[in-house]
Amino acid sequence: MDETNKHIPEIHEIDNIEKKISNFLPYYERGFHKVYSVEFSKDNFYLDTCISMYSNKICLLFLADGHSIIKENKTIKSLDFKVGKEDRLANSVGGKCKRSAQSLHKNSVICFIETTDGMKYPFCAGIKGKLLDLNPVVLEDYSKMVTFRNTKGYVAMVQPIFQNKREIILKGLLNRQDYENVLSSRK
Amino acid sequence: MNFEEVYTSLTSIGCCSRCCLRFIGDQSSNFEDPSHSLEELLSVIPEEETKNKKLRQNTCSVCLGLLEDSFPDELLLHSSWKRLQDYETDTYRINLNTPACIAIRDKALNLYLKQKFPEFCKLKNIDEVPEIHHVFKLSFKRKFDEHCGKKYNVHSGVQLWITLNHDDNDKEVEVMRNLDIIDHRRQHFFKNKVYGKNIVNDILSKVDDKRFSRFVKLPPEIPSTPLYIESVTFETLPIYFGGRYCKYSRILSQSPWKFGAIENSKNDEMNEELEGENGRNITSSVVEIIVDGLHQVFGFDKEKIKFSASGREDSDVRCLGSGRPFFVRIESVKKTFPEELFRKLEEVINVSPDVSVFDMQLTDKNSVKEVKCGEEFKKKTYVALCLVTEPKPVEEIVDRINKINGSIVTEQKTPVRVAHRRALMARKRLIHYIRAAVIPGHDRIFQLTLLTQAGTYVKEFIHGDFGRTYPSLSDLVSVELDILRLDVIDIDLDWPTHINSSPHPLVLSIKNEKIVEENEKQVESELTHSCSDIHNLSPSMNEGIEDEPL
Ligand SMILES: [Zn+2]
Repeated sequence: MDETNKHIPEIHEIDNIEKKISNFLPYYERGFHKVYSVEFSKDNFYLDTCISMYSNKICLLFLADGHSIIKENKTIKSLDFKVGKEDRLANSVGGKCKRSAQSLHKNSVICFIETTDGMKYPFCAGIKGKLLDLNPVVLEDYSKMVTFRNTKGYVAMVQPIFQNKREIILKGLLNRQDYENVLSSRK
Repeated sequence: MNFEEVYTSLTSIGCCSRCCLRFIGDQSSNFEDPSHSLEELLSVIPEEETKNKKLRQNTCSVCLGLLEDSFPDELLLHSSWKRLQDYETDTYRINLNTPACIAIRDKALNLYLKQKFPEFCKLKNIDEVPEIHHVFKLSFKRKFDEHCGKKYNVHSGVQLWITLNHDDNDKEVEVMRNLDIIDHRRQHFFKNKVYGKNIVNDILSKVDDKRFSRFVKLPPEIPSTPLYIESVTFETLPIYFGGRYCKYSRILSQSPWKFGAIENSKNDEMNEELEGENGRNITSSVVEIIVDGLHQVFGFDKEKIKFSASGREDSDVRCLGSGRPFFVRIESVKKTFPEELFRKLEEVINVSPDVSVFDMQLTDKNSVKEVKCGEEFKKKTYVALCLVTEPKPVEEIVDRINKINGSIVTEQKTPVRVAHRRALMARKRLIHYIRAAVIPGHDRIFQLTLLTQAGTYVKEFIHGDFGRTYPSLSDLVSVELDILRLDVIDIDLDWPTHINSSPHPLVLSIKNEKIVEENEKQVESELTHSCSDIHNLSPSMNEGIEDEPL
């Protein structure tokens, strides 16, 4: 067969394989772009949200490193998903076009986080969009939103709504470098 | 049996010579020359009948003139024949759409003969007289062939649709209201029910003879006018080629990039670069490469080719082994497709370093249904290159994976990577088989072979997709794993017929292993059975058996 003129490498036959492995981003960073929202912080009350946006624009919302709960090593006691009239836990999403998903604004609260010392922290979306899903891993074990805040500890999955360009929706959100700068200025 | 008597009766109620021959003769009768055939069948042509025939002016009371010599002459005047003549094809077929009243009349005559000549009907097996449509073709095929210079062939994709009607059709079909089994609760529905051809045939096949003869006049009356041609339309059916493709590139997608999709792909999954390892510019796709080949070898217009496959792989996933079944639908019919052209097509496409096609062949509309309908139920076999992202010895992990017995059920929520275009839901998926192997000289990666239920998101099954797939392989072995490379090596769809594709060697070894495994299970269960039996008898023998697996 003319098949013979093609060299089909084995799956592990990769040029510079060691270099590729060491440069290989973990799956939770591959194709993701992180931005940070700090605008809901007041005084020493840091309510930072990390928005990890995939190449298809789907966003996973995490507690950001500079959040008071993390900075002050607090323990989460409970999560309250009743926000005004809406119960985030009752969110249901239908079909490919995500009918009936709850809509979120930048300052919409996803949930209130209560820590064991009695403090209550609102967790804000930081981006306008549709609420697609809450993370059952976190619902089952609140501490995972702290310990796995890069991987499986996301709180909510959101599909952003773009009016025109993505720049508009990302306006006011910080990239990693700017966020680091904000963090170091907080000391 | 006196055929003459039947013949006389048929002519007297107004049957044309071909309709007479349908009843007197059989499938093998020469319908092109019915008078001659009848003369041969009948010992004497009754004299007064010959006279009658000459005088006969009426339209046939059964076929309404369809089988009379004047019909094809009128039909051939239609302009669609010119289109057929000019079309580049060797073959054609005719689809005849006749009014429902012909079927009613045919049944009426049938019943009339049964009542009048029961013996004849038994002898001739009256329910198997050649059908009017069939006789139409037998009678005029040669004439049509000569007229258009092509050969009639039932399988031809070039077709003439002939629609006929009759002035009294609506009136005659009204009788169906009496023959239909009426559900009185739905009277209203019946008042407005339209008796189309299919419904009429359905009722005729079910109605009992008594009921029929109570409402329909036997024998059928001589019509005042012949049927008329409502329309003749020319149509070409698309043709289908089937085959399998392999994809060797990790940066080539199945279908062409839509606008803006390239930007997405830059970040996509396991791809580090879009430019390609050799700096080749990837703007093509599997579809484009195959379509180009079809254009080059068969001369089809590219716009007239439509591609479908049994699923698709991500652009960063290769497809190896015997390849992925696909078909193309082409809106253009050329004469014939010699076998060599398909081999030539394979040769031409296989020049591409990224794509090969195998098993290329002519297929048809019916056959290609298999590709799409089973899509969701087909098992897939994959090879994955996995990365251990924790400092753990790879041998130990491989060992743990290989100790997993039987199949794995995992629940996958729609992965983040496709959540923008898919509905959100959780689906249970089955991993039928899983085997890991160390790769000599590498201590952080291992090779995984999996057989999965269709629709399993393999990448997510490995790393867990933020916990959205549970359990993932990482969960099962309690080590963080990631996926570096993925290949599809088999799609469990035995279509189309294998010609020159060859399965991936790993697929063969899985099959062998599964057979061995099943045999082992069988042997095991036999052993445990015999063990318990033996245990009661002799402990020493029992020991011997337990040692055996070592
Ligand atoms: Zn007739």
